[in-house]
Amino acid sequence: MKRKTIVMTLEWALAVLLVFLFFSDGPFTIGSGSAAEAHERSERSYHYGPSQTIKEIQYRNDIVIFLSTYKNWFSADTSVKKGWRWFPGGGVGGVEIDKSKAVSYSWEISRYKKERWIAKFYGYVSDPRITSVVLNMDVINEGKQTDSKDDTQKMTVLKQSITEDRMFLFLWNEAEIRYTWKSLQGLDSEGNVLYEQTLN
Amino acid sequence: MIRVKLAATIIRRIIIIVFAILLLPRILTLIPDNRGDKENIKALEKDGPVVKYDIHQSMLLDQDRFTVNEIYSTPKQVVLRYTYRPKGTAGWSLPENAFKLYDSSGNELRYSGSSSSGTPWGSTGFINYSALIEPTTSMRLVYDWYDRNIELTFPIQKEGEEQ
Repeated sequence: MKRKTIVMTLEWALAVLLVFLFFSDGPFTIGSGSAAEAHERSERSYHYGPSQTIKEIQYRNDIVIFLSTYKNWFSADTSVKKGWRWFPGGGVGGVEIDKSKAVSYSWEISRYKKERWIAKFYGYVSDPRITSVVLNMDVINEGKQTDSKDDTQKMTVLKQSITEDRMFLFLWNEAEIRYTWKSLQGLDSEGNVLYEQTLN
Repeated sequence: MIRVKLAATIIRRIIIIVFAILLLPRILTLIPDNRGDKENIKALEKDGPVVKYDIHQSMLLDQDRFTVNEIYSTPKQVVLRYTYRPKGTAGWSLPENAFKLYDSSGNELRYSGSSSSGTPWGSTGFINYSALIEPTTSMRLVYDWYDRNIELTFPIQKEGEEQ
């Protein structure tokens, strides 16, 4: 009877230890408890930042993008939820803001899960007169149902207003819709094109 | 009472088995794999005579410790073997091409490639540079990465064995 009690106690201790190791932070842990924590850890281990987050963009319930600046760089770091933990998802490194240009931009396409290719086209607007940015694109196809959609709808634009934070992000899922990028434009409040960069 | 005890035993053992299985992949990644290191060093002999310099000096990259273990100099290249121990849980791997190496006259040795193997505890690896153009008494390693500019200067003394 006494031996049985010892074995039982040891087994309970082992069970508690394993559960503790699984959930605690340490070499046995993977991921972070929140998107913001994953983002902070991502930057720390990349020796970049800590950046100042300007906007937090939530995509569905498992992707958070942190539009940030740090000194003369901007970034769109991404945290991804897998299971119930958050992981770094790319885009951690900053891109230099070119002050000689009205707009500095960058893009990244990463695959998350089977059918999701998240495309991020983001940037920083240096010219204070620009109040909106426009990404002109042609639609290649709209997901799987690429049948007889009328050809007149092929050209499309993504537009975003620029506020004091000076940053923008166009976000879409390449698995749902694919584009060829035509140009990026920066417009003033009257709609005059102050900046234009042809893409492709 | 016996039933309660039996149920407790079953629950306890299920917890042990399930969590042991869940933790197993993480434990497996903790086993270091340095098999390639010796082969890499051996392969340097193809270049000609190899001179080994023991350095064993560290610098902190933010909070993460980077140690220069040895420098190998061959007629064709200079190879730096390092150990990297990041603080906290694993993150991004090291950008090896951010390490710039200079001889005592200030000539930069050109980065030509790198290899590494890692565990969640850290990693060990090799960074390859172009060969020394003249004999040097010391080297300066600079981690030039965004606004980080971290330096380590170490003497190059021939106390290692010549092969």
